[in-house]
Amino acid sequence: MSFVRSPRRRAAAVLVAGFALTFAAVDARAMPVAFTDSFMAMTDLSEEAQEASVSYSFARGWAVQAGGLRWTRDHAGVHEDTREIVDLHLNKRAWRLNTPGSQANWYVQAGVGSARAEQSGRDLGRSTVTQFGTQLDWETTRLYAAYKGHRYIARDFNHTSHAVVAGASLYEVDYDQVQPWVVVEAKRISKRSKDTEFTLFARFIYRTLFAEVGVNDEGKPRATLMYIWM
Amino acid sequence: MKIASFALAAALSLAALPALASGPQSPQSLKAEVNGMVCSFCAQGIEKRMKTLAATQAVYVDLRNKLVAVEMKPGQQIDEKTFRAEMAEAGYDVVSVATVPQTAAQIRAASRKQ
Repeated sequence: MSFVRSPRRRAAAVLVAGFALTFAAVDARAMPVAFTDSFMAMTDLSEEAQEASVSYSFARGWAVQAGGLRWTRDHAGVHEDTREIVDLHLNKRAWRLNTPGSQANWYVQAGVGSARAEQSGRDLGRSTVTQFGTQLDWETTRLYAAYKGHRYIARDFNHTSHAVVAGASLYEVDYDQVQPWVVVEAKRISKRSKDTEFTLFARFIYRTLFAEVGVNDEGKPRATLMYIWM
Repeated sequence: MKIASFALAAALSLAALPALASGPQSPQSLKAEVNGMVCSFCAQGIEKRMKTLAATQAVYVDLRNKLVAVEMKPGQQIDEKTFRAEMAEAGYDVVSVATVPQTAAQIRAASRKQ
């Protein structure tokens, strides 16, 4: 049954999108394109960055994603800056390679929305923001590697983020078992990051649920959650 | 004597026919080798999409053995073209598919012994 013909799914999507948009956060790292006619809700939380979004895959390899994100940065007890974005993306799985033991993907994303910037305590107001992103990933039942790049362009800021992720599962599991992973992410955001940020995650995958809890090299916690439904 | 034996065997066979005709139909499943299944989160689309088909009784996904089995409801069929199309919508490539006289549970049990 398609999205259009299901009032219940439309209502659910509106509710989740509303929740996602009220979060108003920064750093759209996720670029999900799940299976046709599915929804995916995501959130990524840390002390300096919060993100939430919901996506709907309306055709094979395509998804529309609505979300928000918020970056804040404090230094030595002083609030330095804030970036808030609410936007709509179009995600495309540009390429996929399925082999007997692995899967590789290339995703591209483009979006437009509204951004608010604050710098050194001064509110710079709202402007239009455009966003472009790409993601390459490769995985087997026990190994994972990915590169994620994003560019955010608004009147008051222009950031490029790069992240490299690598992980390994402790063991193979059956389809209906929880699979634990250890994952490391190295991330850098231009004009924001003083150094490359390293985060160590414990990842758990169980059917429709994907959860990560981690701590970065400054000892600050981070959590990610994704849920798929149809 | 030979004629009597033959007649007896024929009579017994004919007597068994009604029992065979009215007994339960053998289960049937599509059993496929599939590329790209590396985690259950990623492979959710297979189970979800197959369950939207009216003829689907049960679905079994085996990541270790690269296997998908879709048990069909008694008297109903899922043709190979439809199966391959749903797998494509789920994002996976079907290497081969065959119809087997087993339930999804039987295929699962056999697979777990490997």
